[in-house]
Amino acid sequence: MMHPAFRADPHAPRPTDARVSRRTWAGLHVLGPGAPEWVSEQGWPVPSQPYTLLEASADSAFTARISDQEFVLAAASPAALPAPPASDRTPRVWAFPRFDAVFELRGADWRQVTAQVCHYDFRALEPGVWLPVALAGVQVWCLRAPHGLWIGCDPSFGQDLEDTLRAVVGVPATGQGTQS
Amino acid sequence: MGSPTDSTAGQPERLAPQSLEWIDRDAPVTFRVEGRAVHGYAGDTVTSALLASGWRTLGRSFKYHRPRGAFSLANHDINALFESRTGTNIRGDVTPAMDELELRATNVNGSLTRDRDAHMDWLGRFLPVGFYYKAFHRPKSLFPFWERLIRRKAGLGQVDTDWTRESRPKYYDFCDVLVIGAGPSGLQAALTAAGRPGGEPEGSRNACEVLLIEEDPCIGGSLDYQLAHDDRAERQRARLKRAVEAHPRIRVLTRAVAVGYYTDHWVPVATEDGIVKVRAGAVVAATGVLEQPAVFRNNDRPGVWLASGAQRAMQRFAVRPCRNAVVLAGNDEGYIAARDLVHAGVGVQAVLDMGDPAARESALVQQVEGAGVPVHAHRMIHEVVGRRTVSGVRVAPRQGDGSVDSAQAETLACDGVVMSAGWAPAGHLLYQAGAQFAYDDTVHQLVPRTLPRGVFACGRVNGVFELDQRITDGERAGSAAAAHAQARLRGGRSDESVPHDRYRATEAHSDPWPIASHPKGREFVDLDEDLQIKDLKQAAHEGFDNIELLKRFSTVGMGPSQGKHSNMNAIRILANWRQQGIDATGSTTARPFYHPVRLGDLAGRRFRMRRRSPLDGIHEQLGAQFVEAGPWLRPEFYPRFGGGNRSRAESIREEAHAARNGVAMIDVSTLGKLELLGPDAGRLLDHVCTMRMSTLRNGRTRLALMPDESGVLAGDGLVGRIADDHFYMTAASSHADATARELTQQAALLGLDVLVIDRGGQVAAINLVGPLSRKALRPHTDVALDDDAFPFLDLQEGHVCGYPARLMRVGFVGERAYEIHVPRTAMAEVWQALTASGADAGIRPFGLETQRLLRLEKGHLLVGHDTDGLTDPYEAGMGWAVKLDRERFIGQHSLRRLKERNERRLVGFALPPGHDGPLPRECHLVLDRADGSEAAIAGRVTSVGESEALGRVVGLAMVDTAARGDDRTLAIRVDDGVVIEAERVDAPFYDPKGHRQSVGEEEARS
Repeated sequence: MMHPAFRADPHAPRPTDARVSRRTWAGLHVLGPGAPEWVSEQGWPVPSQPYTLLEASADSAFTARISDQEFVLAAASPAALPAPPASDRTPRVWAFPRFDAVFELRGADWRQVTAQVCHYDFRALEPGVWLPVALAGVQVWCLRAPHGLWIGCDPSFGQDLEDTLRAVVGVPATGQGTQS
Repeated sequence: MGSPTDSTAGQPERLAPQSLEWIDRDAPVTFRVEGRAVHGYAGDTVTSALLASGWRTLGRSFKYHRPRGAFSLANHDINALFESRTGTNIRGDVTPAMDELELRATNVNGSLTRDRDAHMDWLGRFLPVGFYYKAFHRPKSLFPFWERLIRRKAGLGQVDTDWTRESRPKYYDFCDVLVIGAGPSGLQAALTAAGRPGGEPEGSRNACEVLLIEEDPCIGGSLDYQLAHDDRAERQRARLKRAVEAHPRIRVLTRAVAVGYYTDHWVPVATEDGIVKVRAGAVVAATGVLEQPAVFRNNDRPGVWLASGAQRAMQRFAVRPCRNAVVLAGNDEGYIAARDLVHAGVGVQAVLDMGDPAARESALVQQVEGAGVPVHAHRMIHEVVGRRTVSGVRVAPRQGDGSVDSAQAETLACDGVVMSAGWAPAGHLLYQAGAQFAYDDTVHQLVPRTLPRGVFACGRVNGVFELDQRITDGERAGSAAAAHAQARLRGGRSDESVPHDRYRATEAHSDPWPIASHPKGREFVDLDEDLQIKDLKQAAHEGFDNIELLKRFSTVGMGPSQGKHSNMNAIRILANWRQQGIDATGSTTARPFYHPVRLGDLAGRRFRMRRRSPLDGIHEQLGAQFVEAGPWLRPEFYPRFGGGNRSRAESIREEAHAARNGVAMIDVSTLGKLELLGPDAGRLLDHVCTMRMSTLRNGRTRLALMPDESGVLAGDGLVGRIADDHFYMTAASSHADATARELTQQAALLGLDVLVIDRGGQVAAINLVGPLSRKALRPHTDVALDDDAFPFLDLQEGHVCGYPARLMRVGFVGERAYEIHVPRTAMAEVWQALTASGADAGIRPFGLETQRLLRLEKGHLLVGHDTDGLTDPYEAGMGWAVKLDRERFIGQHSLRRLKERNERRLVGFALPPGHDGPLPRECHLVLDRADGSEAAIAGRVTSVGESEALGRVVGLAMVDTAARGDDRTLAIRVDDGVVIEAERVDAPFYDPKGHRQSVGEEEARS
């Protein structure tokens, strides 16, 4: 009986069913000593621990806590985000819009994709965690989505990261996104 | 017993089907070696197919070109080394036989059977150990000849320089327990670590995700070749394989070699598909043992086998290793091999027991004797007879001290020698992990004495040999590894309840001195390097009698096999030479990667991310030529702007003209854009900059020079104050990330109440330049642009095209200019709006090269371009921007001293108008020619450009202040060694009084 390894290695990487798509996303980076209070006043949830997030009421909206005085409020569109705080508010709060390039990696074996681009063990990533990590050489944030993973990065890296992820999943790059 | 041969034509040494064979007899393959067709089956390796076809000489040795045959059949030697048109170092023992393969032997001059360099064997006496280091030094003139000769004769194959680039992606993998080796102990360790397949309660001690890796294409290890006909193994084989293959928490990776161990259980695994980088919670090394050869004269002849190699040939590939064998047995395993040979129909002339057969397992001895094989006690092979292959052996009695009595030697006819002299642990990974090994005088093997936390050893590498004990040891290691991995997840520690040496063998499985020297030599210790006993003794005699020195001087263990078959005997020989024990002699550690890995695997997937401006698409439409600038791609110039295809010089000239006389704009989205927020923001900037920033008024900007502690210019930028507790800092594109890191780090170190965020990619920016820039901008902004309301170096917040914007009056290129910062998503619209409103004024984009020219005309330096890793602000002519008389800042102490040194100086120069000779380029040398003698180097050109505005070539050069030239000229050596004279000119070359900053549309029109 010949060993199957000589017919076709059963452990060879198989074509993945994972797919990558770009999400519409708008963010507001809120920071300062008055940030927790201000976020709460806007009716957005305030996670108690850094690197955690809580879902907001709106579709796909959430608040991520980056540090004691830093938050990212995220929604599907800028209109869903609160207006920036007044500049004379005390204690001080600053807010800046974010235009991160955000991708959704979905499919049963999405970890096959991250295994080629990131050293992090995504088995350990639980829902409700905001994970800053290097992926494909880019500093990104990740969070668990219902069917996979969200990956966000500085928009200037968006096109190349998208091209890389698409190459890994075996889908040609779209060539779009230079106006991201 | 007895096994009929297969009748397959062309494969005379193929046995009848074996119960565990790997080959598929329904899938024949044919490949070619030295142009001759070789037939085999799918599942064969190159070596096994050649052996089945009757080939015995499969390679030639590295130095002496001696014929070599199959030996370990397990990648522990490189006797069968081939190359193809495109591949080198193809190991026949483990390379699958496939149609279309066309191979030739490596290191052969002619053919395997007729090697024209075979005479090197007779020249061996003139090539003693270390001769490379001793010969060819004199006369020096002949060294190139020797070098060419050595390069032609030495080496392991030819590289095809017309190669095709190959790279395979690397993968990361994770598991709770990594088990390396799928022999009986490894299989059991994996099963134990994974727990019951039906599932364990959450947090159970034994419910780990297990990754089991195995070098061979199938699991089973020695169960399938050494114990193939062992009734006791049959039941365990079936149980272990079935359970592992069915277990939901065990993943098996075959044809995979763990090639190194790094901190925190980080193990790269070489697979057919590339490198898998495994991070494990715990590691179990069930890596087994490497069979060690006995050392006697001509022990390298084709037909001399390691017993395990012969067993692999028979059980895996159904290949008869020889027809009439003599078995040299130093342990029970030798008797098992004799039994297997008989089972395969090989005539066994005798078993030569190196010790006392009474000390062996009696059932094995009885089986062998019962098959009619004579067993001789206390015997050693003194010499193999036969010039090309084995035709017999000279056998001599062995004395109590291990020496042989050659006077009583007698000859036994045979065509094969199968030797089982002992083992060495495959402990490479354990050594790398920090395990300490010690020689066990009972087992006569190096065994792990201490193991690092989280690393476990089991089975034969751990000195456990009996099958049931190996399985029990695997259970112990698997349990301990699972406990460690799970305790680690909980942040705790686990303690091993059972010591790792609990099941260690109580009888020797290795002969302590399997070495018989011969007066005529040719007793090979290292087959890769053709090293004999005399070579190692000579090295020790010359003073290289430390194991590390011996290794490097003699190269023992440094060949492709990395000492797998040679290190243990080399240690024995050195220990004997020094009359000391094995532990005192020591052993060497094979560094990672201890197993060959393809370069394409190391290359992996290329991650070289480019940052892109939101205007990239527009730049492409405008015909930009892009250039790499740090992580960005930036327009260098626009040769196809407005149609046509202009030259570089023409493009730059036109762009510069527009910036100087009308309006032009450049994308500067690549700048770092830092927000510094909080009451200590000014204090932080004071600490990192040469000028005080806390005194800056709201709405004003100031140049920021950032030195390091040695006073060297590390970065620069522009700081603007938005509010008392809010600064905005732009940093040079190439230094943006480093600036953000430095500010963040210093804020933390000083404990300042300040937040630093880098919005580099979130905010886009353009610089609108030229006397007509205000006119182009005015329709789109609510910011008052009159000079009284918005003077030079002011910062204003407002809107552009309805988007929130920051505007700065900057002077980098020496014209009225507005740096416009808007959200990234707004920039394309802003650009198009300005393009429309500036159309009447001939607005056009300009690129990086034009910007460099414009700033050069203005005498502005580029940090990192006009400066190097040693340049301080005084050398760069920026001493005016250093305020030493204030509170401490980074580099202040060094700058106080540097201010007085003044060893170099950035100076301006210009070529005469109409110069038509060769032009200087950046990095051309400035020469010291004061006395007319051979010129010394006095500096280098840092920037140069052809200025249309000035009508001449201008540049900057960093020049030693001690240079002996005059103050009026610079001698610059340009291409081809031509020296040209340039006039020293004080910078700025253009508009030294800064008048152009206030030239607006009215003046431009006039």
